[in-house]
Amino acid sequence: MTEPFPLPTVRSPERQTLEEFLDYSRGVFIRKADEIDDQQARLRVGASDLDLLGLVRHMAGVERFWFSQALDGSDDPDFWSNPNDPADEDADFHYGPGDTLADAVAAWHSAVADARERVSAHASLDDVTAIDVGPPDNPARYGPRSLRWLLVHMIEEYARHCGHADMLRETIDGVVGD
Amino acid sequence: MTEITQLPLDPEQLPAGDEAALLLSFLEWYRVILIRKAEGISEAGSRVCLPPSELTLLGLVRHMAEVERSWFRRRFTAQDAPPLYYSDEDEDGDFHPTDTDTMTDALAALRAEIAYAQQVTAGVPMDALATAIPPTQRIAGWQPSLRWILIHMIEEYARHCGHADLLRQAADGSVGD
Repeated sequence: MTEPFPLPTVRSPERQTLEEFLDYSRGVFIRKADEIDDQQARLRVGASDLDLLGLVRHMAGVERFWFSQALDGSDDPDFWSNPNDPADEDADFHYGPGDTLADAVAAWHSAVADARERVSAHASLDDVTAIDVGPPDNPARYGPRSLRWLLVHMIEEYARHCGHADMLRETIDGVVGD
Repeated sequence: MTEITQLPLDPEQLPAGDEAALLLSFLEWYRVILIRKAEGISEAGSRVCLPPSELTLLGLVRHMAEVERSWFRRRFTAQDAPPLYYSDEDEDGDFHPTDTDTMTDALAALRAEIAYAQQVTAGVPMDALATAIPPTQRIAGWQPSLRWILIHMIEEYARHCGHADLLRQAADGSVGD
């Protein structure tokens, strides 16, 4: 198994606390996809169409979007595309039969390594994204967001998807917890 | 007709320059999301689970009432506030409602704990330390700051909202915030 990240230290300054919580959340998340096969990664529960393969692809894309494309304004391409529908904005969740968990996890690791490097190059949490951001139906609506906001957002985004991953992994093989 | 709690300001619209305002508003956002996942559902729907997980929407609301109570009454302000639902006999009693327990009561309990937490965190510096952590619950480094507690609460709520997403969708097909 991937080693768990340590629990965030409890009396640290703002930036250190945010970065430690984000790394902790990343560790919890990716461990949910450890030691399962490509079929297990496609298992779904209840009425939801989420699965671990889709979630790992999604979070690789989220890391690249927020830290590379948004924060630094890079023109890094999206990781995933839907060959049947080039305009599909949910291509991360719409994988094909030949797509593998190993490729998704590798993409995630590379996006996280890049994100850490980019964050460390910003001296201030008040630095703002190079692009305006907003909801899918109005992507520039809210203007630029600060790095402070971005770190908190990533922590809650990971945590919510870890909740989905908890239910999926427990159904796959009974593994629970962090 | 059940009133459904309105969403607060979208987090993307919040002022992002002030640490306390940002953390408190994200926490408020997730408190409302969990409450909305639990509102307007039948008592039967509140007990739907996805085996092998034992989690239910009713259990999650009771659990978060305990979590709010434990962090903000017992640990942050050293109030003598015994658990509402769990005990030495059943340490996961929050997740084990009886047939007569209701979502209405659980939501009232959660709202009361949230109101207390809002009151004792307003205007408090983020470096303020929790005053009372029982020895059995001490985490590495002892005495977390309010900053740590708030970020932890955000990720705790968000993770349980992830559970609630799948439970609510299984119960009646509803998705989203």
